[in-house]
Amino acid sequence: MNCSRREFLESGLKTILLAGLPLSAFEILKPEALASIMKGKGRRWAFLVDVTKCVGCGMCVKACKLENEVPYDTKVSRTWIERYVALYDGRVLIDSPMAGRDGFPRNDPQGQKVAKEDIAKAYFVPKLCNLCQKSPCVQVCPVGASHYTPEGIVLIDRSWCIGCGYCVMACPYGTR
Amino acid sequence: MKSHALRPLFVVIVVLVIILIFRTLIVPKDFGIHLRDTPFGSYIWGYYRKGDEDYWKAFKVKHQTMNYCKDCHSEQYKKIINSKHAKVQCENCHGPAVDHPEKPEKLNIDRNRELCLRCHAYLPYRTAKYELRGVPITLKMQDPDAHNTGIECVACHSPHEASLK
Ligand code: HEC
Ligand code: HEC
Ligand code: HEC
Ligand code: HEC
Repeated sequence: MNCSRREFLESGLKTILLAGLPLSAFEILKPEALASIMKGKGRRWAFLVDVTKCVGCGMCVKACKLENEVPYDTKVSRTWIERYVALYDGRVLIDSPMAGRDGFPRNDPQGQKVAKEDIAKAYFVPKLCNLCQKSPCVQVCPVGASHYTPEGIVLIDRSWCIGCGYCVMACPYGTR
Repeated sequence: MKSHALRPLFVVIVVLVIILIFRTLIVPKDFGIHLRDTPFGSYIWGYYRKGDEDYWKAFKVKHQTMNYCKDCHSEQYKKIINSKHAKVQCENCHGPAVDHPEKPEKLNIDRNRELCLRCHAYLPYRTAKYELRGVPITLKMQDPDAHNTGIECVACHSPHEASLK
């Protein structure tokens, strides 16, 4: 059988392309990919906060503390609000008095009086559990106490938690 | 057949078996890999005790929302849902109801100016206008150190009607 150099290269290229095709088609057999095609079962809930609307009233912090019996008169809170005030002179005043529990009733970031004309940009950043789709706090838990339900809620198994605090460290929002 | 190498091996196997028996005894039956991301579960995201979901489903929340108050305090309820405070939950101002008429018998009434100032104090950077499902909302703010200082807000305003008394 004769085979010119040109023919050899041509068929060689075709073989490689054809061989590559089914290999990429096998991707679909990966369990994750199959599941995403089937779109999973039922609803997956999410929790959203429109930070552009936050007026910093601090009601969420108060409610979180009362609901979860977090010592009320301490500064600790895992639902918290930060105020950012950027001034034209380059300073950025960031504060969160009592984690924002009593709101921000005065214009006194870090205890300083700032005039309206000096403020370049200012806003509140409410920090609440985002119920992440791939939560770091669930990923780092060594005992499976921090977990994710199929509906999309991040929970803590109180009877299973060993109190190691990894999830607290892992949370990128400081809300665990 | 006695060998110095087999003895420690035997000990290791016995210890392992004891640990495994102990493990099956203390690990709850529903602890394992559950559905998450893949039909077969996932070690990273789906490893937990399934029974914990039922624990949280049965968990009693302290904040009961506005609907809970509407039968007993229908007067305040009717006022508020027809006012500009319709979106402000009763428990924001009165604290969580828990088992209210039984335990606490009365909820707290906070007449302090600071309560209203959380939302109504004028700050240059407090969002004054925004939309909620297409409905524009204007949050009217007052300078806390200029608007009738020293007098409780509720001396002049009705908290449930969001208007002057
Ligand atoms: C089952 C009926 C019932 C429900 C539901 C209920 N309450 Fe009450 N509430 C009462 C009774 C009874 C009193 C005691 C009234 C009194 O002693 O003057 C009371 C007292 C109060 C008081 C104190 C009034 C005062 O004059 O000191 C407040 C505030 C209050 N309730 C708020 C609420 C809120 C907010 C809710 C909803 C989260 C709620 N209540 C749900 C029955 C109820
Ligand atoms: C913006 C904060 C706020 C909200 C929201 C609010 N209240 Fe009040 N409530 C007050 C204040 C302040 C008083 C005291 C009024 C006064 O002294 O004139 C009061 C008084 C009351 C009283 C005592 C009787 C009275 O009318 O003075 C009851 C009962 C009551 N509220 C129930 C409710 C219920 C039920 C809701 C929800 C439907 C509700 N409140 C929502 C702030 C609030
Ligand atoms: C959780 C935040 C919050 C708290 C606390 C609150 N308010 Fe309001 N209030 C609002 C919002 C939001 C509006 C505007 C709603 C709208 O325009 O639809 C409003 C509207 C009003 C208005 C009507 C303003 C207008 O547009 O005509 C009055 C008056 C008022 N509040 C008084 C009070 C008083 C008095 C208190 C304290 C007892 C109080 N508010 C506490 C959020 C709050
Ligand atoms: C001495 C009585 C008095 C006290 C105390 C008082 N206000 Fe007022 N408030 C008024 C009057 C009068 C107006 C003007 C109403 C108008 O212009 O339509 C007003 C207007 C307002 C408005 C704008 C409502 C509108 O329709 O424009 C808000 C919001 C408000 N007050 C909140 C508060 C808050 C919050 C406090 C407590 C920190 C407070 N007020 C204390 C009498 C009072």
